[in-house]
Amino acid sequence: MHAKEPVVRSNVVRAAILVATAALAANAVAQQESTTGTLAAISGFVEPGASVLFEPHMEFPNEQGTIAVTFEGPAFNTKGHPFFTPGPNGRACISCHQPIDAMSISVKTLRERWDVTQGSDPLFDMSDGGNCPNLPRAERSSHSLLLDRGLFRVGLAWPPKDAAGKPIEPEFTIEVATDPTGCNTDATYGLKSAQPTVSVYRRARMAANVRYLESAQAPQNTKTGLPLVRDPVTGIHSSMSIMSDARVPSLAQQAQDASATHMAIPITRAEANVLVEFQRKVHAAQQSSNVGGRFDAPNTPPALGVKALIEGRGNPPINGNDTDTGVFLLMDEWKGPATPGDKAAEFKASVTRGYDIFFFRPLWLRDTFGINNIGLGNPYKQTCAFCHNTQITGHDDVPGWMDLGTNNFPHAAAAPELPTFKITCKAEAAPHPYLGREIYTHDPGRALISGKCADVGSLVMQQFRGLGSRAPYFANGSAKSIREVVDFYDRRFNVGYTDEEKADLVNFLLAL
Amino acid sequence: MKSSSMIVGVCGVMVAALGVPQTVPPIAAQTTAQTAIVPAQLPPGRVSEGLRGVYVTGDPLRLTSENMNVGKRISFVACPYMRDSDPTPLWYADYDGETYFLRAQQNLSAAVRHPQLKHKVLVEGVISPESRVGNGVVLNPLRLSVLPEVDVNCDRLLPADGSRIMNPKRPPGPGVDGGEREAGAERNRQNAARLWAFEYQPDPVERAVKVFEIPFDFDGGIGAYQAYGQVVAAVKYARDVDASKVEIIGHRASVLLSNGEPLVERAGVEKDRAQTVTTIFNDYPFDPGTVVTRWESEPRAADGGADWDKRTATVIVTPASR
Repeated sequence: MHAKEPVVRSNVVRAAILVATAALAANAVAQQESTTGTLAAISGFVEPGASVLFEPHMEFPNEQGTIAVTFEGPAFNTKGHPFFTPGPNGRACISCHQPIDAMSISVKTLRERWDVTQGSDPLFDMSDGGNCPNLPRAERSSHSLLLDRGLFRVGLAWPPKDAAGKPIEPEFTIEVATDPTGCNTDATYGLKSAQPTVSVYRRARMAANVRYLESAQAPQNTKTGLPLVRDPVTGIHSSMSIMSDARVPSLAQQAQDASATHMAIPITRAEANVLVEFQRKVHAAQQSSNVGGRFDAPNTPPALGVKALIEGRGNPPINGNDTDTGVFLLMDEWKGPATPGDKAAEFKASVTRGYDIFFFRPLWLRDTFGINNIGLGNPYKQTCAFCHNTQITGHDDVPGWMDLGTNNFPHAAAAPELPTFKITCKAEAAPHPYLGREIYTHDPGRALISGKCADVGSLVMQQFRGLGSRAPYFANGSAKSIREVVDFYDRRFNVGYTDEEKADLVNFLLAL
Repeated sequence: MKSSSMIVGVCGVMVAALGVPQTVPPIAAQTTAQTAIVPAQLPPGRVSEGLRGVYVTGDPLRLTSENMNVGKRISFVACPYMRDSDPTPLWYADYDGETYFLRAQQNLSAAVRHPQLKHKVLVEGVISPESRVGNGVVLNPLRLSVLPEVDVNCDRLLPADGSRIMNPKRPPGPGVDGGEREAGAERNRQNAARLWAFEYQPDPVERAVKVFEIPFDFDGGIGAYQAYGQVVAAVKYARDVDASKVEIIGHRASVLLSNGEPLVERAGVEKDRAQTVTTIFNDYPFDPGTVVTRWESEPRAADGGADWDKRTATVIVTPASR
């Protein structure tokens, strides 16, 4: 469609071919051309409207090695492609789904963009790129949640409405206990404004490997006993695992929602379908290790590297929590005694030990809505792979919202910079099964959509791929590193991991 | 952890102390011995699904006293507690000086849902002649309902006592039936798609007014796994006979506890049940007006019998006349 346009082959792409070559990556900085005529000052960052070549295989350096981003199709120029075309506020999908960040966006990138553009990048649009629209855009402090935790503001109407637009009678009342952003108490944007709104703050998810997230394993939600929501256009049951609060049933509706809220431009279903078709062909995964070498080398575990995602059965996905399937298949290729001093072999052995811990080491899953309350019992003696079960991606194969404890007290990490809400469940409603009828939370999560007390604090889990390029972690950015993720689980479920086990888990997760 | 291959006899029950290395959570690591018993010591096919073999304390005196109560129906509310075992933990509850075995941990395919710490559990069952599991009397049949309100006093998680479950059904860790499960999931998808199709091709069935009773937990919602399937069975029948009417009636019930006290379900549960079943029916393309929903607020009286059978939503399917 752009055959007559001169193609500017950016080093964003060239780095994909000559991986991990720092000199080339630096060279890329100088050569990317944006539509505004300014030079991109950040290695690999693709600006909306940029004219760059999006190639079938691209790789970008990260701390561990390289991240691969692939496209199942011929190379194309991004100029004019809907995913890369800015809306009225200057943003495009690419703004928050950057190849260098595994099609998400990291705090590192956000900070670099702030420094390079002095805050003028459309990323910092006050609609959701600031703590609240009423704050001065030029002040860094107005964007502290984005710059420090990678969080975009998500403003949700309260009370919620169902798919037909009918108001839902919530099972609870919501009050603002504290809000350093001021947004939830603001007369214009807050909970008591003319258009009552609850502002919560969440990370952008990966726009890659999405075909693994789309389809449902069963017609029913095994967690509720009710049917899964159907996409009203296709009639197909939704996985309900696409957005963090499962508020839309399809990738197309997610694209429409994102376009309207983040780019200030409503799009049609047909236009959304174009974006979906593109995303379905994009995959991302760690592709090499500075220590362990390339993951497309012979005798590499087949689940590592991006090839497994391209070739894997993504739709419908497979539950891999079985010894004959494996969440990340088998990793026998890297097992075996490492020669002392052989750093590569030691790394590989560590990755496989981490996988074994993930797959086989039991722990007490406890007080977790979305797991313990669904008929399995509390506690439930299981392994990491029980919840992180989908083959190749590691997300939950059933609607994955659960209250892990990242939002709700007492398990949430102290985060005075986030708003805290007080939830009071009505007498006639079923309470939260482990927190009762009075809950303090940074983010009511799914409950802001369903209106159900039991859903307070629950969010849909994310996939495991490309972790090394998209810190921080958890939907509220509360873990700055994968080690902090592991530490959270260790505390939350009182696992008692040793330092070596934690290191092995970190190596395993960052190899994905 | 003791490591031994000695085989000893205790009360006529062969017990093997094994030194099987394992990686377990801290609470299980507190165990001082691991024992095993050959599965043949259990009445085959009787003791609680989820157990294909389990250590049994063979106390002949207790077995004698239990025989006097075999067949006795019992209903009580208590804090459940869990005892870790290798590899599958076991649930128990105490009532009136006796310990009852509730179930072994399994997965969602279990017919009986699992208890939860932080919640009391309503136990309803019939004392079985089966040997004790651990030190708990076996109830068969058995119904467990997790009561919805939080009770922080229910918080006993005990370390392993040396019991070792042999070949438990779906123990912790990965399964071994991935291919079978995937095939089942694919069948489910295909069946759901077929059932949902506007141009449904019915299976030949005997055409008659048919009543389905959908079971529910006490005070609670749908037992996610099995009850959904039972509603879908009613949906399928309704499609097979091209139903002219589907009447859904939610009920509220009560239980007569063994201490003589009645336990009545919360008001409104009957409406929730009716709407839950209706929601599942509405997932399929019935003509407007075919599905009619109502509920009965007066609790069904308890008689100390199988009171759990009264906690239902009734689905009455009337075939279209030909």
